[in-house]
Amino acid sequence: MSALPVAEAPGHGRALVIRNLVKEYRKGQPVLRDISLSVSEPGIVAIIGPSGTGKSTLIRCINRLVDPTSGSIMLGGTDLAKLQGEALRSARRRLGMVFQEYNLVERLTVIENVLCGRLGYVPVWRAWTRRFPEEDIARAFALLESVGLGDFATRRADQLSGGQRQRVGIARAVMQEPDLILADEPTSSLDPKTSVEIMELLAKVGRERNIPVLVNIHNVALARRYALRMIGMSKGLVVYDGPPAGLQDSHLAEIYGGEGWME
Amino acid sequence: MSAPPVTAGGGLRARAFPPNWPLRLGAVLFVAYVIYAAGIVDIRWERFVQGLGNGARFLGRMFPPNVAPDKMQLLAQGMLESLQIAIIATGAGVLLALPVGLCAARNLMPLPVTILARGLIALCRTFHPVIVAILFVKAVGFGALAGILALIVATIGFIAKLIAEAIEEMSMKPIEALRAAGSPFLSVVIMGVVPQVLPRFIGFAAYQLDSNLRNSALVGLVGGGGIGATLFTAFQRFDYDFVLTIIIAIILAVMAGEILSAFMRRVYQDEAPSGEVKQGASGPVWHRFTAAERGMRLAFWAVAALALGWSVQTIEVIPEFLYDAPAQTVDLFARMWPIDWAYFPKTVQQALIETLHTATLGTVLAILMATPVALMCARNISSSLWVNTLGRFILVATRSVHTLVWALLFVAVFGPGALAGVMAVAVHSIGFTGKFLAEAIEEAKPGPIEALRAAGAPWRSVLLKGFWPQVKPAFLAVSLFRWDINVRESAVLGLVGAGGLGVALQAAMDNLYWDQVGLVLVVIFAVVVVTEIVTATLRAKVI
Repeated sequence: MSALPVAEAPGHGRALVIRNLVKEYRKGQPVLRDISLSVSEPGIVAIIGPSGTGKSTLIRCINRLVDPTSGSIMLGGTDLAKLQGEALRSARRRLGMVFQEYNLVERLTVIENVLCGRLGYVPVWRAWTRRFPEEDIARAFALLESVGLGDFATRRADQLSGGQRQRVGIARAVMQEPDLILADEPTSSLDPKTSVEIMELLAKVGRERNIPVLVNIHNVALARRYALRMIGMSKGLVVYDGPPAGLQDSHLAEIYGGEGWME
Repeated sequence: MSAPPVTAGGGLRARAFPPNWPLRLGAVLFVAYVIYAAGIVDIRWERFVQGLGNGARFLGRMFPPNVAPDKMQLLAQGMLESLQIAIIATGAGVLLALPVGLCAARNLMPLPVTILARGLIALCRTFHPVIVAILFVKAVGFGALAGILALIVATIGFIAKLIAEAIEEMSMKPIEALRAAGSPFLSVVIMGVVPQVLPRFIGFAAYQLDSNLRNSALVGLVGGGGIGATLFTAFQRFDYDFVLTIIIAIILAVMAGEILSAFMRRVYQDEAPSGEVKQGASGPVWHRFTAAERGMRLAFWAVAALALGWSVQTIEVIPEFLYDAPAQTVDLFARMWPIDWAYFPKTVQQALIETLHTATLGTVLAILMATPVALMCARNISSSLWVNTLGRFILVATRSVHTLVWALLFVAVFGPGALAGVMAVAVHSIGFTGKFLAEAIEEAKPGPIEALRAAGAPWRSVLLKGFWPQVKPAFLAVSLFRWDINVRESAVLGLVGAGGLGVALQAAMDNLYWDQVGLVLVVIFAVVVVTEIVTATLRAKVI
């Protein structure tokens, strides 16, 4: 990542502050009951919890792929929960997202997928004629190099393995020059070794760019290894928020329920 | 590979997006061709504007649709005859198609038999039903009989091909088991083949009834009876308000036919019959179908038989003409031989080129018009129910009115010539192209779309970089497929004055130069075969 401009120190403007967030897909059946948390420190913040507890919904509320029912999501002085149209698009540019299924446009080349991270910035005619600004293209190449895919730039995305695709997904998110990266189960479709590599990469991105990386993850051990802070969710509520070292078996029992699985 | 310096020169973009010169050259050549062809068929802005003026006057004369009692009676007569034609042609065509399709199946029949059967199918499929109808009109005279015979030919071509394919795709395991048990051939067919193929066969037949209903409106334009004849007469008398009534009636009938055929397919294409075991007097008795299923099937066959019986009973066909038909048809072909090659450089060559221009320009224009309609219809793009419904209405309305009928309308608007043909091909193709495009868009994976939206991309960029790469293969396939169809359609448009080979065909027939008619038919046959080869090759390359 030596070629990349190092981001300025985290200021107050980049803190993510969520207050009393509630989401109901069906009236009277809240998936998120009352979530309040704030994230400003760089590095990985892991969100753990059983399936169906609203981890994905929380992540998706932040960049408004899902519309929250009530509550506020403050980022740099604006309430993301209230944004619409043009303002929402501008805000989304500063939130990178990494997906479980990578969500690459498979019939485009790797480099064009990375450049898709700039679509919020470049005018439509530039995207259409592929006349991305020169510095964007240079940065895309540098990013691909830094995730170890320098030789794959003009390959089609559907020719890559799962781990390689996720690297492209991360490069696309970083290409947005985000203030925050959201990662929704980034390792769930990958083998254990590749999962470690991807978490390593996400940690590196957070460190070098000095931004928080909010990661939904099922694998508690992997989360402990890379996270600087862990958030445990259960039944739509935050039940643990603190350093990985403080996460006890009793907490895990509360988050996932039962104890038999921990042996 | 080392990281390029940020200040690298203009080569960076070329490295990211290496230019594909053959593709660019192809695109430039294609655009140049379209412009050239547009010049040839005389698509000019003034003509278009003038046409719009005519069109407004024309529309003014169409409204309000004529619903006078005498006209409604004519309409009812025409529609009834069309319905009878469609039912008889479907019934007879399907019965004839069964043995032909069976003979064409390569996994059941010896090679020489399949080659013969496939040749017959290809012959039936190559010629547009309108051309076949013209020949039958010449052979057996004006009226419903010519229309029925023409549609039987079309039905055999379509159904036999699909039956052959269905038989070839079925599982051979039950067949082997039956053969191993020593069953004779017919038993193998009845117990092994029919159960596997029947549901799909009913589906084909239902679709064909629907399609014959649409086409029976068409064969009348060239003297094959039915509502087409009523429509053509109304046109010649400039009864444009009655024309509108007829067109509305055709659209409604086609819609009703589509709903009916969808229903029939649902009855027969559900999973295997559940069957039931009942306690009888002498122990349990097995029934293949439950009572409800049996009732449904019985009702279905009864209605089919009654409809066929009623149609055969009531349709006006002069029996002498029917007995005479084989001899007359043979005589007609005898008069075409030897064909008049000298006619080719004089007229046919130019007509052929005009036909190809019409097909290509019509397809290009259809795609331009169908794309926004497809975007309106795709539910993952337009979430408004009103926009969806409007889009779907446009698709159904353009598709229900046949190219030849559109050509009649556009000849009235733009005057005779290829411009009317291009417009007719384009407008009729909107329905087909738009439907398949909308389906392709709806099948696009939502993941990449979501990712681009999450990156803050504006909707046009999402369309361009998220949807378009996913839809592109289907888009090219549909365009090619439609072009293939449009070449066939363009070849007959001249019969109503919209340019191309049809004009040469009509001229030759008016002059009773049957050797020239033979030449035009040979040329059409060749063009259709070549087109099919070209599209098959391109399709394999593109996808």
